Amino acid sequence: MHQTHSAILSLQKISFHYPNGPTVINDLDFTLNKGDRIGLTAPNGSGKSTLFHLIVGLLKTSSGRILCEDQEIIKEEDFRQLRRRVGLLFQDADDQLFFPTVLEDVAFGPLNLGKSKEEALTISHQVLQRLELVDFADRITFKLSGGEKKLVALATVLAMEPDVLLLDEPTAGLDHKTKLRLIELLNNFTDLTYLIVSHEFDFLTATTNHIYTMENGTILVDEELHIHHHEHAHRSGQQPHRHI
Amino acid sequence: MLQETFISQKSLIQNLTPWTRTLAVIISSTVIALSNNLSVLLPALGTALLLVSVAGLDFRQVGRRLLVLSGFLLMIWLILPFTYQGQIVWRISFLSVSHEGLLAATRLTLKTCSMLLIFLTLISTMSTADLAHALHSLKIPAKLVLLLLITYRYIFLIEDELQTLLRAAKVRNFKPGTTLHCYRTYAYLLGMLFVRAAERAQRVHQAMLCRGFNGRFHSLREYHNRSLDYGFLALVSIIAVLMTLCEWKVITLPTLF
Repeated sequence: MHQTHSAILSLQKISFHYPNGPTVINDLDFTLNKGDRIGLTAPNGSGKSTLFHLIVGLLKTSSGRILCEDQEIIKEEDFRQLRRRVGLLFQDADDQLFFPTVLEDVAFGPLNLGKSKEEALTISHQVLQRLELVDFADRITFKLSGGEKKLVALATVLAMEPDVLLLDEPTAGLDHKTKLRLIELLNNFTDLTYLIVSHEFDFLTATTNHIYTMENGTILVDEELHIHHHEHAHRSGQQPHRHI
Repeated sequence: MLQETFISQKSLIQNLTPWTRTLAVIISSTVIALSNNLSVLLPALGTALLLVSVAGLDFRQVGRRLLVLSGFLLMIWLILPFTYQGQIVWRISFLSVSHEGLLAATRLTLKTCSMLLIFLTLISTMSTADLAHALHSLKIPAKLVLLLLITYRYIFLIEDELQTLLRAAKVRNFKPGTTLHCYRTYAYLLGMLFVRAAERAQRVHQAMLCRGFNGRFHSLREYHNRSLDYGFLALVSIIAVLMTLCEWKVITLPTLF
């Protein structure tokens, strides 16, 4: 397991249940170290999105501690500070884009962080350049396609200059080409630590170093290699053959 | 779907900054709304029509918008003349039409038409984003401006959701009619739309919190007023002052012409 002292983010025995509802997160322990690229895959309704919302304080834990570089995050003000460093990419990009133009949307975060108009514009242009979205600056956000929306939403998160990215099913509804572009982008972010929730195993293997699963409200860390067999089908399959 | 028909119109009006246009609308509509004198309201309508032609708006499109208004005006004409107390000018069996009632209905018609025309020429020719920024620079509270911007942004999504729900109903052979089943279906559709809108609103708010939103609204756009803007504002102000003086009977219309 990881050592605690270099952890950017550490969750200690956190639990969460909705009022009068079942327990969604149950005594979950998890540590995210600098440079970690972790994938999380689990069935629907197993609490992955809830976990993300707990980390950034959109939901309040029922018990347990959340630490950011050994500092406990308790009050809303602490979470406010944390949200500067931990960027959350929502499942539905439409939730995240609320300004008429792309540039305004990307600049919204930096402006909220108290940057001047010029600084905010510089950062926004840099981020758009990094994602090869420069031509999008003056486009109308709600007239973008699904894939474009997702990339712009990523730009709005990156404009906050976070250390950690939490991506909630980033490939949902994207076509193959946009997925490949996302993979390439994520692999180019060498300075970022991220945690991706996804159902797509191929996407996770292409972008992360470790893949964990969730069960009964906790994260299962399984680092062992497993030999496994696949059933598969193709033409002339009945002939003896080898796959390379 | 929401259409912004007049935005791409090229005219003198488009050369004015959103700030100037919004301020001009505020001044003129305040004066028109508070005036009661026909000799003020008639010239106001004339000026509004003049503005429409200067802006080069398509008269058919303008007419269609006035038609929407005519439903409301019809209600006023059906009710006011018969219910207003005053000197009776016409009697149809037990109904009586009062002079004051007719006058009030005329006033309201003139006011609404001229104000709508002014809004059409000055406001509907700019994008909602520009309007929001103009309101912001006119020191309208940030919360209201944000409300406008976000309503505009999400009205399309709500429309999308509605279409999705209607499609879902249609593929299961739902036909609009006047049966109880039909009304119940519509009620459920509407209820579902509200639930989805509320959930969406919550997620948007969360997304805003994640990006450090603290209730303040920053604007990136800057417009610079030129002499054309100041000229236009001066013209609007002069007309407004003349109308006010006319309303207060300081000057009367014949002396104007």
